[in-house]
Amino acid sequence: MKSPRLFLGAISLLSFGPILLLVLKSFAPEASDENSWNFVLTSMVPELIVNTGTLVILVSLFTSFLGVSLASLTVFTNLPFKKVFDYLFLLPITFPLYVLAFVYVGMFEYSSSLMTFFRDDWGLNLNAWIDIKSVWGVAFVFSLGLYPYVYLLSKNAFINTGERMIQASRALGHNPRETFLNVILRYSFPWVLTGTGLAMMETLADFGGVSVFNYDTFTSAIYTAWSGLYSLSSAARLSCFLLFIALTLYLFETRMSRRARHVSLGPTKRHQLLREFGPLGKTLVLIFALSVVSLSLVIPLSQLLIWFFESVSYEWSSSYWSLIKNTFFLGLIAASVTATLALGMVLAKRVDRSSLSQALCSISLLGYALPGNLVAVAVFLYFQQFKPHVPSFLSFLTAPLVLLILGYLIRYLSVSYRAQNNALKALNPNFDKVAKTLGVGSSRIFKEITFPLISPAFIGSFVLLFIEVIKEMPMTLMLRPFGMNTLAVRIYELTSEGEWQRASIAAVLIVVCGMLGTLLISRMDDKKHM
Amino acid sequence: MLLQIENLQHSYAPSKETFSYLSFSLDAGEIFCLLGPSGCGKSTLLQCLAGFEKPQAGQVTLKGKEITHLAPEKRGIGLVFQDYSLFPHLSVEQNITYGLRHISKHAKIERCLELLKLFNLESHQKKFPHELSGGEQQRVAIARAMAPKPELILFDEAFSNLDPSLRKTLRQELKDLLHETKTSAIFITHDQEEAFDLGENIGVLYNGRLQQVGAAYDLYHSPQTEFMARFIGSNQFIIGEHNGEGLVKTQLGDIQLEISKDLNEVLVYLPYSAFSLHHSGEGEFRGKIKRKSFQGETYRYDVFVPELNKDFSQIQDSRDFKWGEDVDLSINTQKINRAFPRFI
Repeated sequence: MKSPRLFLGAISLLSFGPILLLVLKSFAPEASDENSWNFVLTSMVPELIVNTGTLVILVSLFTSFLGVSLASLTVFTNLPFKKVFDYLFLLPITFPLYVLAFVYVGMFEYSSSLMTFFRDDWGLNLNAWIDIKSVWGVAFVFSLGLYPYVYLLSKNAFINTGERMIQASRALGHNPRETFLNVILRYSFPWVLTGTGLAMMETLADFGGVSVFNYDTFTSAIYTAWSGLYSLSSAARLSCFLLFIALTLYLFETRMSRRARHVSLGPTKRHQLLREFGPLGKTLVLIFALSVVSLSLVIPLSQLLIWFFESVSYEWSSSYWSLIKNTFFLGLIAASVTATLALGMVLAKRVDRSSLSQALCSISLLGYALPGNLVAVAVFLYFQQFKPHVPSFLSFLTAPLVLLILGYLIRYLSVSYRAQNNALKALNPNFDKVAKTLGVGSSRIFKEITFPLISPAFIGSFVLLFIEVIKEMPMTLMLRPFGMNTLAVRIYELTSEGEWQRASIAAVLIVVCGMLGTLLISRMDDKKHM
Repeated sequence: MLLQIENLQHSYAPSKETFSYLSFSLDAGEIFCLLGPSGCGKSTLLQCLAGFEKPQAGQVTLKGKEITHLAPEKRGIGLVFQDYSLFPHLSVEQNITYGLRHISKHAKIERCLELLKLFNLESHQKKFPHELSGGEQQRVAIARAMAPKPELILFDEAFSNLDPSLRKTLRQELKDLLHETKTSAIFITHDQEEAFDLGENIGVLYNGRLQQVGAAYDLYHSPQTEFMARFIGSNQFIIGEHNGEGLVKTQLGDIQLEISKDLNEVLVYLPYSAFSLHHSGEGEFRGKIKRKSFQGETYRYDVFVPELNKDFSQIQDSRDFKWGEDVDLSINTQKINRAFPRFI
């Protein structure tokens, strides 16, 4: 069986090759660029390390606090309207961070209607108290968008802890609070850390959000080196720094999620409450839950909609149609290519179970841990390296559009691969054997058994990819063919000029697409479980 | 008396009663077995005793103190589950010492070593639950429950995840250990053999009522209800007509029984001990061996008797009759002592 291995090899050459080349190139830079690198190294890198580090750490603290406390409220207490809250606590995940960022920055601008209202009507100058552009502000706003990762994983772990284990602890003399701390939280710790790790990775990868805050991190510095200093090698070396941090976080996250796969007791459906609040307690937790929902969902969404309706008359023009067309075009192409190649990988790995193909798969999926700016630099370098050797009749392969699609592929391959692989894993391997003993050929098995059974995962991952691609900002910004603007690019252009109101139109379009897509996927999931 | 349960009543929904009027008691050091088919509410009863379910009425008293509504962690009652429910993130040692509180670290370790030795787990001290076999996990779970020296331990189908031979050995070991440490225990099981093996006293729960409480011998030989006769006993009856004065007319002849005067048609219970098999021509009723199974010491036979048009099953005999062989069956009416109302 050579062909599955060849296929996996080709995929890893496409998706891991650029990353490898990036590292090699950074260690052997062109001499002509030494000046600008020295400038970057001495005047930028120390600050970038401090900035990025502080932000990531603060976000990890805020998100774990919010995620764990909200999850324990919905699972173990008599919080009112639990089911509604459970849904609302997850929704902020559909906001791209840059949307949340520009809404908050816009709201807290001195001349904004909200600040004016507080100043003039209440005599309260919020700007004197809150500096939204400080690292605290950035971390706070990011955490509002990222805590659902921790919430979701903690909640699942809490439910998974199982009633029996809680009862065992209490029968051994530990009260509910001690049981929560000693058993539930300790047991769920790897999951909580996995969620926090994801939030940290998202923070590290973010470019749009920090740009709005003018908060310099590695991602924004790579963009500056790329577009401001026109120094590809500085961008590459900064990317290498970022790669190191991202891989460290990635290893942390995978280690935790591996530990999280501990033997788990079967989930019990009926969960006894550990804490029943009285009227006062109920009111307090309700206020807490409502303020999280307001800050992460209601306030940003209302502000976005207000701006949308205020500005739609003068900002909307036919040019938006071409933005929408471009965005959807990129989304559809990238999602089709990625989902199809991921399907191929999943099938190839099912046929060829050698450790080589396992390894090829693993390195191909690494890209999801890497920030978009880094991937963009890597892809660009990769093509620059090979362009001179490509015969002219194949030159269309080096078109900017191909670069961009490859960038999406590297970054999002694992999203699709994981979804389809899980679906295939759930498939009893005996199906193949049974079908073969019935005299059915491999292609018919695929057509009539394998594909129909994993097609929901294929379509689900396609939708997921589509959402990811339409909100993707840094790669689109750096690699897009000249003149091919998308909604995310439009947001970048407008927010870098402080045009929050006008940016709301593209933002609403992206958020609505994201929410519709998420709704679609959850509907599909519901059907699957029926 | 260690534990007393009086008129306990529980329901999950107003119309769905789990059990009611439940009363029994337990002496210090006694092993009690609660037997019943699955879904009879025995696990709920255990949850009530442990404090995780609230009974709607009735009282639970432990050592003279009422604990009906006391929080589980304040009861000092140990609990062992069918799925062991070991804490997967804690080592064997940490699991065992989890319930040891307010004592020095040294004392904790000492108690842990003592239990590890008692349960033959010395080499597993630092291991994690997923590294142990099912039997070892179960021993850790029991050691964990015993560690704080509770006076009562509840076992919820504690052996049903183990394979039969292991189940038997562990059961015996545990019984000895409970006796040695003078710990009382309530076992919940659906397995009659297990109940007979473990319990000094056995209570049978069915249909929300405690059907009968007593020693295994009494349950087996003189069931108080038709359900008991079916569930524990031979499940063999013959229809009889009562003359109102204690004499019941059956196909087997007239039988003198102590039954209520107003019963007319009755089901007369035939205990295993009433049957005996003979070579053809030596007994009362002509029959044929229909099924046989080897039980080690004895055989069990199902015999069809054409004269009574009835199968008699599970009759024990040490002789080796052939399949299809003609045999005679005798029924000793002296051994028949129960009849139940016939509703059909």
